[in-house]
Amino acid sequence: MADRGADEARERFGAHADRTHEAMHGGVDRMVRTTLIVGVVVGMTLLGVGLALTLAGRGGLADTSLRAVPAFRAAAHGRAEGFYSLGLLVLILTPFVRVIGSIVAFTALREWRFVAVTSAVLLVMIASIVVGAA
Amino acid sequence: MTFLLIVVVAVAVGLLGSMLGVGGGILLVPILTLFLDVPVKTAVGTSLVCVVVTSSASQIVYVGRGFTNTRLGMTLEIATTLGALAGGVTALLISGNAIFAIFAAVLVYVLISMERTPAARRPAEPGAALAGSFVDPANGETVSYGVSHLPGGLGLSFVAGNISGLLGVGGGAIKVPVMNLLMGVPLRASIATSNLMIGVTAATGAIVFFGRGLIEPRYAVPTAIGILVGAQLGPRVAERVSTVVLRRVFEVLLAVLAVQMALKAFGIGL
Repeated sequence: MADRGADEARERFGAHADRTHEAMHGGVDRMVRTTLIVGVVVGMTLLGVGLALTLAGRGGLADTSLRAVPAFRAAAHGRAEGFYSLGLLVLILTPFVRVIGSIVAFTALREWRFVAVTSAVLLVMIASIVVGAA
Repeated sequence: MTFLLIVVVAVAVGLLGSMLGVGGGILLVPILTLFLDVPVKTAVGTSLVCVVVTSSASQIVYVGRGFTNTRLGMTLEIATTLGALAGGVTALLISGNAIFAIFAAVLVYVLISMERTPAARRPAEPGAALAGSFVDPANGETVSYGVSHLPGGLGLSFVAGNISGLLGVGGGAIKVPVMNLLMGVPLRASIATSNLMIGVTAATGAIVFFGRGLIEPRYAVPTAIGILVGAQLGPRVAERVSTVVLRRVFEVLLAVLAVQMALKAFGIGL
C-alpha cells in the first residue's frame, strides 16, 4: 500500500516537474497572442476601409460614434461612419476577447483557480459595458 | 487638415512613448486639450482607445518572447479593471477642471519617478503559484522568480486602474514599480505584465466612454492610426537616438504640460 502511495506521489510530482515553461504558459500565451493579432488587424482594416470610403465621398468622420447595431447597418449600406465605429469597437473589445480566450485556455489546462480569476475580470468588464450603455 | 495634424501628433507621441517605454496617454491628453481644443472628457476617451491599441500591439511582441507573466497579470487585472470602472464613472461625474488638476499631479509624479533610479531588487523566491520565468535576451539565461506581497499589489493596482479610467492613461508608471519594487518581479517581466494589464484596464474605461458617445471618430480614428504607426517605428528609431537626450526632452515636455494643465484647472489659459 505504502509503495503504491509513493508511486502515485512520484507520478504526480514527476508530471508536475515535466510541466516546462512551454507546457504551463504555451497554451495561454498563444491564445493571448493570436487574439491580439486578429483584433488589431481587423480593427485597423475596418478603419482603413472607412478612410477609403471617406475619400470616395461616402461619409465622413463624425463627432459621435455609433453603437454596434446602427454601426453594422451603416456599414452594410457602405457608409464610412459604420466602418469607423465598428473599427474602434473591435479595437476596444480586443482585450475583452483576449480575456475570454484566456478562460478557454485555462479551462483546457484544468487550472480552475485561474478560470475563476479570469472570469472575475470578465465580469467587471461586462459591468463596464452595462454602465456605459445605461 | 485637422485629420492630418492629429495623425502627425499621434505618430510623434507613439514614437516617443515607445522609445521611452511609456504609454501615449500621458502626452496625448494634454496635447489634445491644450493645443487642439478637444474637450477634456473626449480627450480622455480618445486616449483610452490609443492606450488599448498600443498595449495590444506591444503585447503581441512581449508575450511572443515569453516575458509576460499572464497568471500574475490576470490576477492583478481584477483590481485594475475595478479601478478603471470606478475611474471611468468618476470622470463622467466630476468637472473638467478637476480632471485637469488631477492630471497635473500625475504628470508631476511621473516626472519625479523618472528621475529616481530604483534600487535593484533581488527577485522574490520562486515556488509560489504566480511564479514565472523568462529567458533574458541579454545573456541567454533563464530568470525564475516568485511573487510576494500580493495583497499590497492588488491594492495599488486598483489605484493604477482608477487613474487609468479617470485620466485616459495606461498607468504603467504605477504598475511597473509596484510589481518590480514591492512584489519582486524582475523589471523586464514587470514591464511586459504591466502592458498586458493596461490593455484590459484601458478597454474597461474606454467602453464606458464609448457607450456615452465620448469616443469621437474624428479624433479617435486619426490618433489610433497615428499612434500605431509611431509605436511600430519607435524601436527602429531608438537605436539611433541617445536615450539620455530623449529622456531630457520628455522630462521638459512633462514639466511644461504639468504647468499648463495646472493653469487650465484654475481656468487660466495661455
